[in-house]
Amino acid sequence: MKANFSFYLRVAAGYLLLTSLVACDGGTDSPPAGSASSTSSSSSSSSSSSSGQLVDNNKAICEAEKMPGRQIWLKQCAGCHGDRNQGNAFSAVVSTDREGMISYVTTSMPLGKNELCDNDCATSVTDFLIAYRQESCDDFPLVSSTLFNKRPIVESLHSVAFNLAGRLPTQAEVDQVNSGGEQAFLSIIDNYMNEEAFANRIMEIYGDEIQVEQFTPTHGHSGALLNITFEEEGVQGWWYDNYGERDYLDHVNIIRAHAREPLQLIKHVVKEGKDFREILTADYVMVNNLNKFTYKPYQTEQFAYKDIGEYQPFYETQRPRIGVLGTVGFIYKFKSTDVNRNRKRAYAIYDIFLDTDIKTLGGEVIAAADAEAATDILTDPSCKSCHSVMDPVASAFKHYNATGMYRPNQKWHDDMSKPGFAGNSQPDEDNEEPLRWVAERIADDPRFARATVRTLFEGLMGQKVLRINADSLPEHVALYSIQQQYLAPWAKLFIDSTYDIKALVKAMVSSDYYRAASIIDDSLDLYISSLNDEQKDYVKQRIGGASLFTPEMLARKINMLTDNQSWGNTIELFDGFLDPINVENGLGVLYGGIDFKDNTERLRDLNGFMLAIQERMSYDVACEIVANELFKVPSERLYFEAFDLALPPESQSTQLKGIIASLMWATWGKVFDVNSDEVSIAYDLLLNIYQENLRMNKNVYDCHYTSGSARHLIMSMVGVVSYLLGDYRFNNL
Amino acid sequence: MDRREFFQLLSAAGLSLTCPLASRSAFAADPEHLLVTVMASGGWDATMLCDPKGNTLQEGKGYINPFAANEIKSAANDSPIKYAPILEGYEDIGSFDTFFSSYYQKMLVINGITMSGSHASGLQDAAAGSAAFPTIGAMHVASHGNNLSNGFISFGGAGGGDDPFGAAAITRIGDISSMSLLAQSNSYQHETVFGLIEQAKRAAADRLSAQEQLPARRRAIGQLINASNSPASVSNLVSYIPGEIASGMVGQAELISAAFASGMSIAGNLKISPFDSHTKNDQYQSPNLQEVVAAVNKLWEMAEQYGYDDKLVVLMLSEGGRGPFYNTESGKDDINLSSMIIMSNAIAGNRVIQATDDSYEALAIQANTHSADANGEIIRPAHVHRELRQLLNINASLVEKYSISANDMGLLGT
Repeated sequence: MKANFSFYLRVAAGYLLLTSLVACDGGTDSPPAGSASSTSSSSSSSSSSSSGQLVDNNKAICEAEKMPGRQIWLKQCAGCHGDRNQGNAFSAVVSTDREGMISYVTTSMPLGKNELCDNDCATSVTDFLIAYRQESCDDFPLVSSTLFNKRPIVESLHSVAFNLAGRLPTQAEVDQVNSGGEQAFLSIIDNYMNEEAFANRIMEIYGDEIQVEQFTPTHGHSGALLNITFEEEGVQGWWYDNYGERDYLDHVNIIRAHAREPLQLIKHVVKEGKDFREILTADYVMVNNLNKFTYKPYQTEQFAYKDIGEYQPFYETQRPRIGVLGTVGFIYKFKSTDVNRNRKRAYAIYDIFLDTDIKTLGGEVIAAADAEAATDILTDPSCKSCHSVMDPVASAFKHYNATGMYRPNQKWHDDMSKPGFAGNSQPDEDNEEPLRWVAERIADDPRFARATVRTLFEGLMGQKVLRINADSLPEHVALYSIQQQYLAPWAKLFIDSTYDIKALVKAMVSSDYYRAASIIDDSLDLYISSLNDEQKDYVKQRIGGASLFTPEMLARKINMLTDNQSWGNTIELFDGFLDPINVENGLGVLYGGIDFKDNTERLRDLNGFMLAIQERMSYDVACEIVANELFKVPSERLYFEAFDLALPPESQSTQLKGIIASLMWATWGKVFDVNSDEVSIAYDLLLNIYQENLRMNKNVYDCHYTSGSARHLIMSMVGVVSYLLGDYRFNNL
Repeated sequence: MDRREFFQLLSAAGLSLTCPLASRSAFAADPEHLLVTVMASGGWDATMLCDPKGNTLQEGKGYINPFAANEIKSAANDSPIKYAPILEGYEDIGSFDTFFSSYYQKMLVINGITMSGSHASGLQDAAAGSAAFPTIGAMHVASHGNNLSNGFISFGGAGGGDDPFGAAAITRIGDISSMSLLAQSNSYQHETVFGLIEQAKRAAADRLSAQEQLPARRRAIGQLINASNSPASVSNLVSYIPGEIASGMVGQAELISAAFASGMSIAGNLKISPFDSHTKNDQYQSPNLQEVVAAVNKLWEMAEQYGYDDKLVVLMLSEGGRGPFYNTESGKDDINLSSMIIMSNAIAGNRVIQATDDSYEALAIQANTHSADANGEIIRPAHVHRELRQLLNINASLVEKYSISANDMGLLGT
């Protein structure tokens, strides 16, 4: 089913900030690339009706239509995008970033036939589109800059504090936003991002993308990364000869340290506030006291295996250090063969770091049964669209063997493209490591910014960013366009901030999208007015920053509320679940997590097993929270300072309602007055449980063997906390 | 942990098998069909399973199979279904013979299906009829199991996920040790107090659903309410899990069969991904094809054991094929030609639709007669899914929304 309607994208601050993976499937009679004539054509440009602010697009003659790019547009692009870019299937990319647009069109457009438009052609089309837009000749209405009403600022603060720093806001921070408003909120976000937890959070998000955790022994791996590194670095003998007698856990930690080198690099760049492009270009590897030993062995008796230590940059390795791309884990993950020729590696780079799924460029997988067929890939038109993009990047790995070992003197295939990127070949590959040359250009490509935004959006919002094509359903196109309304400006902001990840994250979590309380219907109508009711509901139900926690987030929230008296301390089987990355015991997978092997995509919708997990958790953790509080002296309690164990609940109703309100804030992130209905309902539940407990009159409860005269009251409070933890608001952003 | 240990653990802990919230209503899903999609991911070599060609040398190309044409087996004397022998040097676990000789009468082999896209999109295409659609399993659940919060069990989805567009909730099952914790949710409260708390939770969810302004949150609250209304899951499931869970895809088959038998689920995916054999093709394909076939044998064995075999529909697929000739590393590279095997008592079985020639080139065929005809059509996954949707009685609105553009080729013979 084709998407056969126009959709509208945001115009902001006088220029378009749009991105789109757009298909142009016309073009069979295209002129030679870059050689279109400067023929003017009339346009029936007309205004689209909408309730938004409209641009004047009724101009009789547009000067831009005299530009050479106009003819290319009409022949190669208008089939999908419309003659006025109104979007026969959907509208095209227009961005303030001219170079980025040229790069994108050169490598990707027309979809599946990108050989029809070389760099000159792409330049012409880009210049035409930008000029056309500047003259307001195309068919975009201006739309509202926001689609959502925001939640109360303190609720946003609660959400951001947990999402970025894994903790509750302090009372001082709450007071600060209550008195200082948005400015104070933004300032506090800056503070959160200076905490180590934030760098860990970004590392966790990239863990989903790079997925090197699969190479640790806890995931059944044998330590190939260690062996590769030993051989490269010239370390002799088996690992245990050099490391001494170590138990299995040390072995695991050493290999894990190697496997996490790329993720620790990302953490380091974030933590130190460096230009984020350094994740691709860093000339060092991150080592702690374990993997450092591999690169620079020291006397075994000094081996500080008990003191793993902080990861630090390390430069003295035989292997060239080229950011994430040059790590053993990343290259080993995408093994190669003589026939594959590093193309898996190139595909992954485009997917993860360039926001480009090469398979959407068209073409089909064909037989490449021998070297001759492999050569045909570069001349067969049906192959060229993908391989002309992919193969130069694949050749950048020419000095790495099939498993990822650095072999600078190995022979590379003469019939492969030269190392290169975005239409440019590396000029002198003998004088610079090809992977470094390509990595530096990838880092500077505007698609790297888009990819970064995409990754962070998915991690922080918990929502998948759509990729669309000419066959996409109308509701998916609309959803995509709404996502891009936000993502595209963030990508520009990221570039303009010199790739400051904190500036980017701050823009995201302070946005109306993240803080959505409700939709502004008039604004959204511009995107969905042509959809039927079912399609509109589909779109509405998938926008705004609302999402189910990942298992890791659920574990963090439990830790946050129990002062790290975590769920796993009481139930052995949850140990693995509570490791932020290690989900091997299966519970994390059951809760929609990933195991980096069979399950590499997160589930985002609650199912029956996930509810069962939340249910069990709500009873176990409620006991821990209450016990943890009561084990403290009253003045040190977070919630129960006013909790008088000597009085029946009816005699301390005001205090108990206050406690319940504070628990609702901690668990739900919601502010309720002590006299509100919600607090009263929870208080009534406490009374009902108390009466039932009195009636049953158990001497000892299993929850920490609770006994004594206050046992019924304590267990009533445990019951109320179970009620709070089983609520939707506990485990959803 | 196997099931016996699991029960011992429960017994030692004094636990009974009850399920939170979900145990309120007795349950047995009773759909017309139970669907399993078996994904041999990476691109299986169908010539080593259901489209064998033999080792005739072809000039400049070599041979397709390492066995002679006269070693190719038949499912039965009267059956057109042929299959490859287990290669010399590989352990024959008997699964090919069991598979073909036991189930050929409910088996349709379609050889010569032209796939599209790369591995990820190709698998989605094969399992859905288009890379832009939810898989047939997700559509089946969306059509017939909307009330089931664990209606669809997945051991790894297709390229775009089983359901990239939210047609049905997906459930994953890990090892059963993790489930032991979920058999009882209430560890500390008396049963009557537990009831009070659960009642309060439900009332809060209903209240919140009415108050919430953001549709995305309302949708999520609705999922929670639906899951809490959903029929029993964990306790029912555990009682059907075999005493020893096998490893690999056979174990997946056992768990999905248990989910079907318990009434918890009506669709599932099995998946293993070792088939992208650019090197050492036979070494990868031979044992792993046996594993796939052994898993399907297990599906039918348990379906017969629990009496739902008349409902079971099995769709075996891969996102592409291999070779057909060996490369310089004894591997076979990806090609877009493959096979599917469909098994059900509701289709005309003991048939092969043969749309490849001796050189493993795709043949166009006529509709209904399925004889080779240059003016006929090349079979694509869309053709298969058009008819599968009819067989499974997929909801008309879904069929329209994810509209397939393919002619009726009369493949299933229904």
